[in-house]
Amino acid sequence: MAVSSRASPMSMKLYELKRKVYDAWEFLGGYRDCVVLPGNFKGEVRKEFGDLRYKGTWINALARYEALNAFHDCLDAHSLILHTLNFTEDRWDYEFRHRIFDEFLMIPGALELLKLGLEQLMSGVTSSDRGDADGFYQLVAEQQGRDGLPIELAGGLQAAHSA
Amino acid sequence: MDSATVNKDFTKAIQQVGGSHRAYPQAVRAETKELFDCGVDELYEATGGKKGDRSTLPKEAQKAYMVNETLSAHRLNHELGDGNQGSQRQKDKRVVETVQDTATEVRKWLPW
Repeated sequence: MAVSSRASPMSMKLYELKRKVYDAWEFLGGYRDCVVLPGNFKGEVRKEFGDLRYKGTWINALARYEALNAFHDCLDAHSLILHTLNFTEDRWDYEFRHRIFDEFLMIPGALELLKLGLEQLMSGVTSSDRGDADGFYQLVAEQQGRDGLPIELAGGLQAAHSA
Repeated sequence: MDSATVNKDFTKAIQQVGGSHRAYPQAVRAETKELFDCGVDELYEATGGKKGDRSTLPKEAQKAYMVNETLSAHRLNHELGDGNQGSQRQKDKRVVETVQDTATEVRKWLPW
């Protein structure tokens, strides 16, 4: 499974992707306390991300909406590391993990939230919990080769992982 | 018993009954709405807490989450269990409804 999913990193069909973007958009609308009108969906995606005929447009929309959903209404920062951003290969959003993570880091306050989550993991939970976050650690390890990872996060991560 | 243990059991129960990684944030949003009539971010802002750190919320709010997550975990395991079948969307929906319904009951006993 690992090999095949890496061999075709963008394998999700467009119709499937649109459905995922819709779900994320709908969930974001709930946060903003908006009345979610399905008829507005495509117009909003087009306005914000461009030509709906391109798959890239939908990937951009997915990444932004998923990142915002991860950030908003986050009750426990450590849940970002153990759950929300713990991208494992069996998850449908695995192939978009870097896009989502990049978008997440661009949100003001998101980096601080991740650092808080790492601190919580170091101080309060068992070692088995740290092992449960392998998808997140793997993601960050991959990011380190892409120059995209803030240094302070890399340092905190190393401490959490080896604690 | 502390809130971290309760929360861990709660998230584990969601996973065990087939909830996806989306079910947890949906459940948190739903329980918060029922328990406090607002969103999580609003709760942190209104009480002067630090986003992402529930130990900075008022004690009563922390207890409300603990009670709801404890009861929800039991209900998920006993009422849904292996019977939570269907599409991922359906499974997540049942998880969220169970948590939300539990929160509605819990809310009746809260002083606010």
